[in-house]
Amino acid sequence: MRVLIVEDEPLVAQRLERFCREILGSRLEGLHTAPTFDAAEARLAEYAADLVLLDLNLEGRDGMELLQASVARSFHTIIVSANTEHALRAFEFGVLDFVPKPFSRDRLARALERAAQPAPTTAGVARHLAIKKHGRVETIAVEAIAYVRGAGNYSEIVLRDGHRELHDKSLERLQDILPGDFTRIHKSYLVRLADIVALHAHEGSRYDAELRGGTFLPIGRTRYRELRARFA
Amino acid sequence: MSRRHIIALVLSGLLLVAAYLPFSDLYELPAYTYIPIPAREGWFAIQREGRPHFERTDMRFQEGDDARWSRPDWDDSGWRLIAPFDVPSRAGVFWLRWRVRPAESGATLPPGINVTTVAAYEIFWDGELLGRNGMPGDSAARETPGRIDQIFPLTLAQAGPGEHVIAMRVSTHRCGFSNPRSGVLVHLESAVELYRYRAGNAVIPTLAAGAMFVLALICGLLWLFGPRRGELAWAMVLCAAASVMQALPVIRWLQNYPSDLYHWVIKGGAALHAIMAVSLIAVIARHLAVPRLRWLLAGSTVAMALIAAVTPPVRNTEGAYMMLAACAVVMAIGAWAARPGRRGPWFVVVGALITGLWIAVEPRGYTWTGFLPRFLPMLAGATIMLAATARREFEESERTRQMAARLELELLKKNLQPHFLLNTLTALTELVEQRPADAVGLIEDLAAEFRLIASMATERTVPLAQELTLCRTHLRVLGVRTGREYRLETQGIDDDARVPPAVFLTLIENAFSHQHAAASPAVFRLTGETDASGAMRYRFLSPGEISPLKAKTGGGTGLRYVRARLEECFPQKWSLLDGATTEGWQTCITIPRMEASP
Repeated sequence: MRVLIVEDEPLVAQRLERFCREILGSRLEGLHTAPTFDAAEARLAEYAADLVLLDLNLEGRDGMELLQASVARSFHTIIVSANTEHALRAFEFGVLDFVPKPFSRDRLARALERAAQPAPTTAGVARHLAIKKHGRVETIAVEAIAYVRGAGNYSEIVLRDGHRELHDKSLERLQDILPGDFTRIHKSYLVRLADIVALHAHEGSRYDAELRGGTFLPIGRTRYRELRARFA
Repeated sequence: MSRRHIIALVLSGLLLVAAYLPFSDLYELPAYTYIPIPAREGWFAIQREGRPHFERTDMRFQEGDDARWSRPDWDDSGWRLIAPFDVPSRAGVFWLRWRVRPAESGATLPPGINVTTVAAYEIFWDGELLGRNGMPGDSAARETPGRIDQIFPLTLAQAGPGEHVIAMRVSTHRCGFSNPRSGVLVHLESAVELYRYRAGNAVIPTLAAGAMFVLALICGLLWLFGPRRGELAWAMVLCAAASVMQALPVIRWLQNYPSDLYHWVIKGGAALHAIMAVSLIAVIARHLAVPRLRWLLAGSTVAMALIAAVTPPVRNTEGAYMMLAACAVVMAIGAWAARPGRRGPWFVVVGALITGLWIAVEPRGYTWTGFLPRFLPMLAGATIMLAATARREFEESERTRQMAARLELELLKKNLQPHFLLNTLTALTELVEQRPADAVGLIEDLAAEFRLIASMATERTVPLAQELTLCRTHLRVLGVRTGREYRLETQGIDDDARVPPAVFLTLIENAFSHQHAAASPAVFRLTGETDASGAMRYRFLSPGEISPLKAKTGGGTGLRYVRARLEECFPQKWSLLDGATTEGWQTCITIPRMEASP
């Protein structure tokens, strides 16, 4: 895992760095520190991070602005901040965890372990997704999402009104932060269970899910049995 | 209306009372008593304050004109007896005759005659022309109007022992009043007493005119430069009308205008009273938020016009009746507005009741010289009501302001202190584990900062030296946290000068929240100077590049706290200007110099 720490207080940054090394051990592929968000941006241009540990109170910057800019990116974001009043909003915007300051090694370990898991251990609670669009960050409501299609390292978000938006996060990472009723029906599709109105089986072990609105999406062979069990 | 305004109004009212009391009996002539003399038919003994003054006969009247009628030996026994207020108006030339003599044999008469009338006349003393006031004529064109009041001194020889005959040749074509009867008021007194009477009559109206003018000016200026409250504008109209109304008798007694103008003066006085009455109702009704004010004022105006129409003009009592009606309306409004917890309207009810009763008992004395004392209770009641309202508003404003300051402080605690503390504790945890000796130093600085804040928490102002110690301690804590060196340099600072607590500390907090850190060592600068008015001007420079957020919000919660604190300590006497400079963000605070604890 490649980690970037964005923290302007050297003692805190030093503590985060030390704990990351201890907790992740050999899983840590790279670790960098940036004292400002601008420095972090510069670092990210040449360094593909999997996880960013972000302080919301960087000198002279609006914490929520930083948060939205961060969660729109491909990496996961864990907030490490004393501004606990932003915690709820942070989760709504899709951060993986919020570690309040001062923090212990165990608390940070729980957050890092969640980021290191290949599959989500707990459901996300995001109510908005931040996306980069025309050089700025915009948000879309999770309620407006019809389904998500994987597109390599990116995801294509299909909205109920037919519009499509690209997100920097992979399908796996979006699944980490989206609410629990978003389920993988195929390696390339993430769908809200409540939107599935029927399951169809075809010849040759091909399966489709019919969504509200008349869209048909393919279902993976192994995932069909799970879905059928849920609908039974 | 602020408390200062109310104090000015109350002092003006007290000044009026103080001015009235020493002069309250100046404008009265001594009390005269008429006692018939049984032994001499048609003669009366005039007593002055219970003592014999002189003796006189009834006045006799004859229409026509004959120069011989001035002679003392002319037989006027066939002339008609007439009361002084029953002489005809616009009826050609007529004569009046009566006799006087000293109260005791061998004594002399009072050496002066005062005649008050709206007529032209010649006055004869024992057949000799004593003087003339205008020139009587058999038509308005031929009559030259005289003055209303005229004093004719008598020599000792003229006022000597024995019987004397006074004759007057009179015409009243230009009296102006519609009433068919007019009056001729004659007093025999010493010239000194008569001049004192005239001057005394001018004193109270002069005071009243001046006081009402000043009150009108104060109300007008308060309205113009203050909160533009409607009752102030109406109070200005009321006082201005009262001032002009009281200037009319001042002109009479000091300048003695021609008698043919007198009926216009009476009409003007009535019109001014109508304005005063409607304005008084408007002041009270507006202040007590009476609904449908326009209808009330329109109805009041109609009522005043009706009073003017039905009141006999010669009696000069329209103004009294108008003010009586206004007092009744004011009492009704005050009673309507009074409720538990709102005592102010009762004062105006009591004031209107006293004024109304006084006018009702003595309506004739009210209009000119009696206006001020009778109007004072009404004025005092209204002033106390305004003061009560202003006090309530001031207390509410004070409570709101203090609550706002407290809320700001609470906000500051919520937003800044926990955040500062939690970040410091996070740094401290790392130090404890890695460099315990440095951790102890940070704990000591943090403890010192909290001790200082605790000692300041209940103070309105603190010595500048204490504030600077707090700032430097805070910078040391931040220095450990951020790994940078921060300094606070001062110039022109008086350590004993007092400032609101945590004001400069808040500016430092603002710098860390809204500015990019300057290169280490970062130097904060505080300079102090005395401006031309003697106030202290502090310039506080926070180093570091300005963030877009600060440029947009200008400092937010922290700066609101600073402003609330400055207003709490120096109401309306402080200023705060801030802006970006090439070195960082400069805040300029100007406050009154204060070296002792307030």
